[in-house]
Amino acid sequence: MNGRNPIWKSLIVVFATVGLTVGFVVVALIVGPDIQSLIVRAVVVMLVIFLAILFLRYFALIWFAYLGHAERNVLGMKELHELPPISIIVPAYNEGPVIERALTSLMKLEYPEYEVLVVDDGSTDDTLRIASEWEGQRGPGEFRVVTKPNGGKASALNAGIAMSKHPLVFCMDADSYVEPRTLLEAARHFVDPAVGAVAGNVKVENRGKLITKLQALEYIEGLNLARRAQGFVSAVNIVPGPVGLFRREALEEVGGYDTDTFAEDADLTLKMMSAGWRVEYEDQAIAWSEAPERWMDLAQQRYRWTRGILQAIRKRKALFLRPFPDFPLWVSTVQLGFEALVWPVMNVFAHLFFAIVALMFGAGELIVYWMILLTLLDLVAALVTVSMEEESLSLVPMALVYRFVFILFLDVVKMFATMEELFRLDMGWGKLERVAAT
Amino acid sequence: MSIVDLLVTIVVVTILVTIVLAVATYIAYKLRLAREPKPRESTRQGLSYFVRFDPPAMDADEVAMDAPNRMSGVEQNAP
Repeated sequence: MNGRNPIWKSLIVVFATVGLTVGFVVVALIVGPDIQSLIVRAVVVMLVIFLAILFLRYFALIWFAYLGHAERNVLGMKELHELPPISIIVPAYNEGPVIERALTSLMKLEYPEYEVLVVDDGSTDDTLRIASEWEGQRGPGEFRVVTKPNGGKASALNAGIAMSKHPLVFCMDADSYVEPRTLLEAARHFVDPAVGAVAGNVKVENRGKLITKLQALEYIEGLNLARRAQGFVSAVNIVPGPVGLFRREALEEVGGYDTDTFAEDADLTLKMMSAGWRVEYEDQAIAWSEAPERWMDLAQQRYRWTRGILQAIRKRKALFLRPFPDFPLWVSTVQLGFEALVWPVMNVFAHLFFAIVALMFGAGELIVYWMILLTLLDLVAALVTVSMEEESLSLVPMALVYRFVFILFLDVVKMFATMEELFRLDMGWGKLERVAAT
Repeated sequence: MSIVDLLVTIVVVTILVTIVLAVATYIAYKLRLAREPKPRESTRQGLSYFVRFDPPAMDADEVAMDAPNRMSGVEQNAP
């Protein structure tokens, strides 16, 4: 995994996929009318199945998310009598342009006692110099800065955890910043001794371009909706890197972060669930994150996420055949696998198949009605989720191009990432350039 | 051309163009990755990404006091 993979291996994966598709078109053209009629019928069946799966998925997610939302708003949250002190770990590798903003947000936290530990992971820019200016500062919390040779985010987080002291550990990204009440809202979940971690709510900060607006909607409608639904059954399968609060006892029990995947957050969450800890979601624990502003950077980010998640799932492949005794863990892992592995491939080939059939066999009308139904579904889902998050309604119209452009684009990238992971091609971390958008 | 025909054209073109652009973007990303300069040998030797770090089983106060000494390669900055 050194990022020095020969380009030709990746290109073979791409051209093999394109070749298979072209092969299908050629075969469909040369077969007789009976077979072509069969193909059209198959498309109709696929359309219905695809729509049914999509509808069920949305319905289940929105229903559970609504139950979680209602539970929180009607029953309220239990309060901790005493707020335990928190250690905040900020791993940083070449985050010079953005780390100041992250640290400034930590000075404004509404929490009685916390420490901040910045772990510079061998940065080659001015990250360490900027962070060092915060060393020893005291607000509600004391700031400390350590540096170590570059070893990756997981190793930096492990180092920070080992050097910190408080019973709760908050892990965040140096390119994100948090809302003042984030710790307060997340810490309340730990009134339940079975809770090992709380996933927060990541929002896209830079929303000036179409690509970032689409990501803002995706975080709300795709990522956070799923977490909210999973949170209702205390089985959130990814505590996101920018905002996660952990019980130290749980972290130590599972041995901290593993360094053998590129999705250390998903891997750690699954480890904690395997150890019997509950993982909850807190929508008021908010972190703002800078989303990629270029399509190629977005592709890079999702490539890494997909392969990282698949690596985390691969470590637990035996779990797929064992739904019991830990059914919530099984559901979480299967859902993670479905979203990362099955759904993107299915989505890309379904769209391609439908487009080809519309062109070749004149089934265009049917496909247009199907598209209209999907778009309506997306619009409703966007409206519900944006309302739940009390977000800007200006994001809702993005749903018009969400599925046919944005999700399709991401799913193509995920599909290739999946194939590369299946063939175990090497990969690198792929550091994104940050611009500290305001 | 009827409205439905127009919608069919828009939908099909959108799908195909999106897929083609996504494949092109992916190839461009891979080419960019391949063109990135290789790390120098000395830097490579310093990489320890896959060295597992296990937090030691000590109580919280001991960890706070001893951690800097126990962390190989970790340097505490002076205030």
